[in-house]
Amino acid sequence: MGSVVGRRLAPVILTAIFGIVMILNFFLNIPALASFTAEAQRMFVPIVASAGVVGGVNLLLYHFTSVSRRRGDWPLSALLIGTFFFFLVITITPGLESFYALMYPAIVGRLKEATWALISLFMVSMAYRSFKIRNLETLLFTLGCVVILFGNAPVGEAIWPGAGKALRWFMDIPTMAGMRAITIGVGLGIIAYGVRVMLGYDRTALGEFSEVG
Amino acid sequence: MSLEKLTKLDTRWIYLLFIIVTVAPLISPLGLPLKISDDTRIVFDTIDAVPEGGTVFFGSDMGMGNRGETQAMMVAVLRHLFTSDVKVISVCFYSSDSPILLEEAVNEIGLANYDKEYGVDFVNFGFYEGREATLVAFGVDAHAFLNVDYYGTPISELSIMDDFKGAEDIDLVISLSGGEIFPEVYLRQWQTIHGTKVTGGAVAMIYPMLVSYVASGQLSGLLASSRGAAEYELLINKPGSAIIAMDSQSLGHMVTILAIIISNLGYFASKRSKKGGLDI
Repeated sequence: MGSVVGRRLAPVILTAIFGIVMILNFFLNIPALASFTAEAQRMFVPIVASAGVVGGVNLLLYHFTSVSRRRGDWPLSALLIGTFFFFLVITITPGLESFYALMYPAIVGRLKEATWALISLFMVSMAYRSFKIRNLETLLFTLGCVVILFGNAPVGEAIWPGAGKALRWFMDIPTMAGMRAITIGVGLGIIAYGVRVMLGYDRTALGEFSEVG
Repeated sequence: MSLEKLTKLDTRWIYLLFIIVTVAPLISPLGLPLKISDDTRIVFDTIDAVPEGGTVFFGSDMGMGNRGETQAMMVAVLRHLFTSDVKVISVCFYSSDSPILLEEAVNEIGLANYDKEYGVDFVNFGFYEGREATLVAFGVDAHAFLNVDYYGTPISELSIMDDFKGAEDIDLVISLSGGEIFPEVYLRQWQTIHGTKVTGGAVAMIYPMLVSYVASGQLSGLLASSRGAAEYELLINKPGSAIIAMDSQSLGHMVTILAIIISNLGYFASKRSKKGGLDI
């Protein structure tokens, strides 16, 4: 019983203490709070790095199991394990820095760029398949897209000199109004979530997925 | 031909057309005129206004995936910085790709071409994990947070860091953001607390999320994707890859608009035919 209380209560109390100190430090100019906060923020870096190690080990365990049990796409799991150790070795082995600097952009960089570039093809395909003017909402949506596409392309302004102004209006009025609403909403949501976590009402961060209250 | 068939085009034809119109101008540029936007001009003026001997924090917050959109922006802004008498300190908080991209950009420009010296006028501290919390820690006391630069040189051997403590000593933050709304983080953690001036650039995907900060004056201008980079290349009078890419982007956008028009022509024709109207 005691261990259950400790396991559940201790993280909540620690979260609340750190959270409250951080908030107080933001608003008050107290040297002791500032130094505690600075130390806590420095501690965060090794904690995140440790989380990365845990993530890596979990990833390997999962894919080693896939390979040993010949599950589904196990050859891809084997490829992942091979790539993982290849980059691990060339990253941590002294003297291989230049090899890493050559291999990482050549393999990972090019793959990421290719994936990003493929989005443009999907965008144009999506524009063809989805932007059909079925009602007032889709009319406004399609018009918005056309204004952005036209205004952002230099040729748009060459064809219609007002394209740049139309884009500016679109960005400054409807887009900004929407983004401000989202930003304020997200801000309020984060405050509410923070309070719930500090009070122990939300324990999803501790691996408990059922709501307490 | 019935216009209805326009809704059933094989999308591979659209892909082919798109690839042709985007690749062709890269081989043979059309030289379409480019107008410089107010936001880009504000970024240029803000960087120009950094006092002599001032310190600029260069946030290279991008990844390899968006290199096509952001690398030209980084090269153009760094060129401008290196023509000025300012110190440039860079720490990447977004991705481990960022210091590699920064190194590529600096190698392309060549510090020696601008009479700049590594460790004296410019330093690359590489990537530090932890995002916002790490950024806050750096802002409070950089010396307590950093030990060595990207190449393993101890901070004590980097004279650029001698008089630098943290965000209080920064005259301007330039945040070039690839996948997340990173300029917002600098506003939240450095501008709000230390009053740091922030400018930057962003990929097209996140640019709309930042326009409200430009309007409020919190962000001093913002470079909009490769178009912003092309405008910046014009401003510093160093045409580069972004200007060449503009023709390609222009035609790509036009094909997308054409796809929308074709699709709607087909859609309305099919609606009309379902209602018993005549085929056009």
